[in-house]
Amino acid sequence: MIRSMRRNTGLLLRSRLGVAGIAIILFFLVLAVFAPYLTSNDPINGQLVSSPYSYPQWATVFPRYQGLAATQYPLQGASYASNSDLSYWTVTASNYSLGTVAGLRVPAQTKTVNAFELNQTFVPQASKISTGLIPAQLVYGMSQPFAFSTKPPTFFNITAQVRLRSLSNVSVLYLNFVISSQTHNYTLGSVNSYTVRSQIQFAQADVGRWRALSLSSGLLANSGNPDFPITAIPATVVFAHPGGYRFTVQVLAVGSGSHASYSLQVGNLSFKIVGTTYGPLGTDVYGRDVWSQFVWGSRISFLVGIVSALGSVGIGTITGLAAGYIGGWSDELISRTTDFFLVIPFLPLVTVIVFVIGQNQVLYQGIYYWIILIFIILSWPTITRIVRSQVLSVKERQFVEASRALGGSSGHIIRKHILPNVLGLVYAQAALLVPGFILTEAALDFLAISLHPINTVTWGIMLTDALNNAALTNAGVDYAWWWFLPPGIAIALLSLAFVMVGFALDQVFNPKLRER
Amino acid sequence: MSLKRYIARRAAYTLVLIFVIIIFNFVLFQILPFTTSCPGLSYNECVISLYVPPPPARGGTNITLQYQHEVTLLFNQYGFNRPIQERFFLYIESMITWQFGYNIGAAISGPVQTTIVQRLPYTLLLIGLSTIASFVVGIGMGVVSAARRGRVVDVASLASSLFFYSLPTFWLGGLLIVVQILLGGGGYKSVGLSTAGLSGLDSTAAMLVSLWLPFLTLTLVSIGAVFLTMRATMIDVMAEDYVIMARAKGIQERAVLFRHALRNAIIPIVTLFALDLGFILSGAVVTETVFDWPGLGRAIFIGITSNDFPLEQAIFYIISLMVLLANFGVDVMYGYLDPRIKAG
Repeated sequence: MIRSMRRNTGLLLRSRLGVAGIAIILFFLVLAVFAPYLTSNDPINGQLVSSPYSYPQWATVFPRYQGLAATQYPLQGASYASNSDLSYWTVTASNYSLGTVAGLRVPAQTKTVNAFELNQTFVPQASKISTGLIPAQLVYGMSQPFAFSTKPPTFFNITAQVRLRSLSNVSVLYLNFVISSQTHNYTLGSVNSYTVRSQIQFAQADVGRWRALSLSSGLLANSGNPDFPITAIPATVVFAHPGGYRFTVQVLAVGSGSHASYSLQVGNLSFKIVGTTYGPLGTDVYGRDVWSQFVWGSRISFLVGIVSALGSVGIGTITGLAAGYIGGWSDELISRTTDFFLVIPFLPLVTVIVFVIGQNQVLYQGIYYWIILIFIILSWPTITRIVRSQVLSVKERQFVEASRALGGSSGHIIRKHILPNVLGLVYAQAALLVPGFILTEAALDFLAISLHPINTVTWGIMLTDALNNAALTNAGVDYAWWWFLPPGIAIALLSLAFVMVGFALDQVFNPKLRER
Repeated sequence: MSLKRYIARRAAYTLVLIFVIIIFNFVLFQILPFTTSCPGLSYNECVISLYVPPPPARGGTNITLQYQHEVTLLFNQYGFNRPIQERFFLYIESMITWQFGYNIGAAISGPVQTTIVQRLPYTLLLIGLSTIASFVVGIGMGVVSAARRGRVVDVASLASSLFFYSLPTFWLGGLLIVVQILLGGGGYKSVGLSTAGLSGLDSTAAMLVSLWLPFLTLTLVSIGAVFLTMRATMIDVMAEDYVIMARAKGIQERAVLFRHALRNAIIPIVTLFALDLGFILSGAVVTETVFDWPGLGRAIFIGITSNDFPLEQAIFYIISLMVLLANFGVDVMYGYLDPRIKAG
């Protein structure tokens, strides 16, 4: 048996079709197996890693997409792990100390947080404005320059975890983030230091508490700033030209008395400029990474295709052997059963079952296992028929008769004579079944699974989403080709690969096809 | 056994299968959905929850009465007020007499018969035309490929037909729509939209325009199977002795191909068609859904999503009948062709 397997594998590898098919299958297998290492984005819940309908990064080679902004994190030393990360910042302040703190535990964050800690004392200014309010004074500023070289982005986002550790003689503390171009300053945080409307303010009650900040460029649009007409996208106004920019963190305070001080920790400060290109395959309508969907989706295709094929072939071979070799009533029984199964319309039946299961939320989450089960139940008859007719023809051959005459038992005959002649055919049929399952699974995704929410991603679901959202109608994003084409091509290639392998196996085990 | 006995045996067997299908349909559409879709609810409660929208919480007596009225109507009209055994026999009677009842559920209304009669021509048109086209092209390509085996034509035909066969149908449909847009042909208009307000020849012309893309999709996907079978059969046949004899007699290659080899190679193709009916119909379901083509395939899909069991029962029954009859027809044909059966 081993010797024949080795010989057959050798023959298979000599066929160009077989080699090509196996190569393609291996490629997708690598994708499926190493999915967690190939991408770190959540394919289902990881929304807005970049703007929706982002193009793939490599697409910028085409003139049409040249200069599109990629999603970037332009600040240096953003890990805040050691004091050397602080060297990128230029500080304008006095009476302060700035250091990094690593490994802080923030509630609601699973990983520990690195922060920079700012301690400062200052002399509060005393002048009041006409309404009797004491204006906030800018007590601390640190800034970093960065370069922006592409077309304007769609939005930018600043996130941080902030904790006020202590406050003394300060009634309110404000935090501002400013992005400066050559000509303008744009402040996220408050409109100007002379009003008390600020997005981020701290008072005595905040001491000791962690706060999660998330400021996006959209805030600029509602700020009443004349730079932002109603129809403008703020990020496009801010980054209107490529060039040098500056990111500044400001602390403003309203103090009293002769000395005021505070201690502030700012953790995981992250400045993200979101462009319109991202990753190897861009993003979908919700801004989710298409590449991660693609890689994780390959798992289901393989799982459904291969397990269903193995199951059908396993059951089909056993029943085919029984029907062909034993004959008599077992043959009758098995043949009538296969006849029944072969009459049922396949796709409508599976769609009904999937839909019915879909209405039961608990069962539905395991729907792909149900699909595999149904595929096996509906497909084993095909294999049975083929195996049975092959067994029947082998049974009548002379070497079997000779073996029996020499006293060979049934088990021996099956093992040594019938099985080797049947298995080759079975391998080829198994390989040819897989593409059918992969394609039907994709069709099911389109017809039934897209109707109910589910916590998995497959190539079929990707295609259906693309079709329903942009692929046919949205010329503005070029019909989302990076979302619509790859899964379809992948399904086609994988199916084709299995067909090629099946073809090659056919040639290996059926010598008539080989010569001539 | 003699031909008559063989046919009688196959006929009886087909009838048994029809009966099994009828029972299977009942379980699939009248028992399965109402027992699994609503966890925690009884059979009747599940039926009500699927078809009658629940009254608003602060509805008042009028609304509640209305709700009760609808529930009673539902139960009486569709027989849910009877015990399940009685319904089962009524169902069998309805299947045998082809009285399929009324549509249920939110999507389609009216007698099932009307729905089917309205939609059948569309499906027949689509499937018929695309099957003919795929067979003509597949057979032609298969013959040429077999004759020029191993050369460029063969490899190219193999590659392209295998490729189209491996494409997901709905993806190909979407791709063709976009290709048409990019080639300047405008977006795809489904039949309902394109024939609105038109009548007579104009309406027919608009329908044919809407037919083009679904037809193309279904044809491209179906060519592969026909081509491969034809090619394999032709290769087998061309190695037979009588072909070598015909060549030795000096008959021209083309006549050898078409008059001698093709005639014998074509028989398996016919069986392929008859037996693959189910597959062709599945392709139609997807294609009709993508292009919103109002045929039986789309009706199946709508029926499934709105739990319209009378419609689903009827369509499944009809499809199974067609496949069974096709199989029976093939059996009879083989009975005539296979001398072992005739000799009895």
